Amino acid sequence: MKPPLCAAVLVLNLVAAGGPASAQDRPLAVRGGELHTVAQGVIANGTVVVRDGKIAAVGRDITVPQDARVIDARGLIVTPGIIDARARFGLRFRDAWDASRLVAAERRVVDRFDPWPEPEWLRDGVTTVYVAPSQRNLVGGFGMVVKLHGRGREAIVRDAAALQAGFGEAVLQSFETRTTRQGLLGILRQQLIRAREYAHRGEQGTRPDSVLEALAMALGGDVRVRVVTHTPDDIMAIVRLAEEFDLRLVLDQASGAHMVADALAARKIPVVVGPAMMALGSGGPFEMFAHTPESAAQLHRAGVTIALSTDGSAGRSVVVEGIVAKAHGLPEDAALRALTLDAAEILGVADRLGSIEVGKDADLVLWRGAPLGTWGETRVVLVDGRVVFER
Amino acid sequence: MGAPSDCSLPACALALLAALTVAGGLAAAPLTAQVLAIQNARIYPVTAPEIPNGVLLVRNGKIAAVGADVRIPAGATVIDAAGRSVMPGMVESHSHMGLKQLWVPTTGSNNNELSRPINAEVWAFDGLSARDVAFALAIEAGVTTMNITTGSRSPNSGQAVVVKLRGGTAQEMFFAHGGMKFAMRATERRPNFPAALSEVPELLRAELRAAREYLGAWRRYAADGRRSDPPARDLKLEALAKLLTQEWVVGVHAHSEEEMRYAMELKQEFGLDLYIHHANATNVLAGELARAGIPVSYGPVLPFHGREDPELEGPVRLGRLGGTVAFHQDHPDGPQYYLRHSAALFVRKGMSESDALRALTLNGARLFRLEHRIGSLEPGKDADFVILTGPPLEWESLVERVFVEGREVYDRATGRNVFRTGGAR
Repeated sequence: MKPPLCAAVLVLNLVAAGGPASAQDRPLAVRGGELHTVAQGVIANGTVVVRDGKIAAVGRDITVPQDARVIDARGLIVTPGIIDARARFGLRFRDAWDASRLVAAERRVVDRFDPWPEPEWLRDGVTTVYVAPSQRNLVGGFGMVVKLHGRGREAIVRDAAALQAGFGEAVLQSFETRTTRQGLLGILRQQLIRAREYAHRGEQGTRPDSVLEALAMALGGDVRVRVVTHTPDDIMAIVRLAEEFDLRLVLDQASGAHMVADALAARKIPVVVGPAMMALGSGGPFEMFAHTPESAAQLHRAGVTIALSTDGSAGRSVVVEGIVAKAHGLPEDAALRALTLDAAEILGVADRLGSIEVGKDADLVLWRGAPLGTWGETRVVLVDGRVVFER
Repeated sequence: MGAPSDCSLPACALALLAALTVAGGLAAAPLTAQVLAIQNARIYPVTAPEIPNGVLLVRNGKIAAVGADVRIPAGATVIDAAGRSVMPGMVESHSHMGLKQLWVPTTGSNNNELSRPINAEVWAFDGLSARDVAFALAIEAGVTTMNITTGSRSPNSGQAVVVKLRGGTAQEMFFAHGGMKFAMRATERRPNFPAALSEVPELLRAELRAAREYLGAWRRYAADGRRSDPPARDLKLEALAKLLTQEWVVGVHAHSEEEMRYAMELKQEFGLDLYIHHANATNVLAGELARAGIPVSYGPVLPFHGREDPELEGPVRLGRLGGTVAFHQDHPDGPQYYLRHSAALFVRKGMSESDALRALTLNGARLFRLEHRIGSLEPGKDADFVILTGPPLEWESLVERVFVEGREVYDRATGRNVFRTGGAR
């Protein structure tokens, strides 16, 4: 991805490329590695065959096609591409939020996406990230799932992956309205009711309203609603709202989530765990008082589905978050799952990503040493069956 | 690092008196008199190769012996650290903890004096609050010594203070004077503040020249047998004069190559004992820094090491060239808990493990001329050490127990933490 890449270029690329460029590629085989498929356990001395950017076969006794390019994975561990479930990437600060109104539901990250400068994460095995609009709006619009390699449309996995909202200090301090938490929920409740009425009326006799249309997409659980919120009380207030409107809730960052882990597990509400490595700031939001690197482990123990995130734009990758979570009690297989399949499920892209299974995108990482160990090192990173990094 | 102090200054005597008063207050508090032995531990002395299975013996808050064949005296309190690692307490070389307080509104911040650009006479120690809950997080990271500085919004934000995480009040935490703080990027739209970057070193230069004249006046007065009227005392110039005599070190906040060069020029012109913190252009200047003997306090690299040097090549090279690299997390910019993790990140990028360990411990001590007291596990040094579940430079390892001067300040198993449970002693 070369700068600058704007919406116009996206369209041009789509036309010029005429579909996935990998259609004419030779098949590829990753042979002899220890496959951590995530979905179907570990296969020692396994082989993955890739055709047209997709996984065509996985197993121990796989015939490698004659014309295949073979990557020798003996002595290496092979995992699915790693997913950062919340990154700041490709959005300039002033584009990331709408300072003029609390509810900016119709905005889409994809319209303002400019993936430059490209983060270094790909070489750490991170192949896909969720890019969120800012949590400074009560409703900030749609976040998207995008790969860290690929041109234009091809890189975008899902362009309206979730409707992003924020509840707490960040929103309260971002507007001059001097409202309260209950005030924010009052506004949101009224808007959701309008959206429901708008959806019921249908096209006829209604002036198009892009905000209500966007909110209506979230009603009934068609689109996930991700809410950045922190204290246990704020979390449960949002849980009540989600139940009232039948929203498909995903908690985002949620530094106090482990304190209400059982309630979340009972309702099957997943959590994108905020970065363990977070600068708590000075005079910053006291609502993050419960922040701890043990959060991921405690949520997992209670049975909550989790993904991990950096919420960052540079520096350490989400793999490090996985290692820290592991060090603080998250079992290794659960940590890998949080970084792959569970993240894909939370992002609504598990049909394509998150595990080494036939039919899924061939996003693979070959590691020397344990992926979630201090000295683990990527050797080869593949996206859509193409080698995008090789050490 | 520096030359001994020049005591022709009256302020020098005053400072000495002040230091004695503070130290006296500390000496009055009893240190643990007991003998403590950590046995069966993998010990990382830093100044010597690691000992796979050794004993660390502590007496009266000092290290009495370290080695594989240390006899444990009868009556000693013994901690069995089988499968555990022991390293010196870590040194955070640049922090605003206790000045910018975690979760306290900015009105509670004593971090930046913005009424004027030069604040040489003010001392961070006077505004320090031990009630900052961040100290509790720091001790859980295995940090035992911290350099607390003001700034960096004025070219000279004042004097720094080095504290030990003993708990109690700021008074009880006092360890040493931390030298002076300069900042190259300190441009502000305020009266008397530099408006452009190039004006910052100019302003500092002018102040240091004034200090040189002031020093000269006092020296002439002393040489003259103190028969004439003494020069009028000026606290600001007195403080800056201590940089010229190298009684104090000066830490310069500089990011870019241009800013770092300004700092190097100041050292050259005024003979300062100077180190640079942040130092993001170390990759460009490593050779020159090593030749000039300018140490670097690098960071924060976690969570967001920058785009200036994403491969962290600078500190790795400087270490290889024999230069001095220490690390910092710059609380609240970086979370203190991950100081050790950042060292591990450097090892991943090619720094030797011994360089990374030194950067976490002894090199931080050297910045503040405290290497005779802390930074390694050697007989005679303060018994500041950390017991970890595994090797210090593995992210999987956790800090289990932390000791300052032989006294336990944190125990992960029980959650006991002197900063959470109140009084130090």
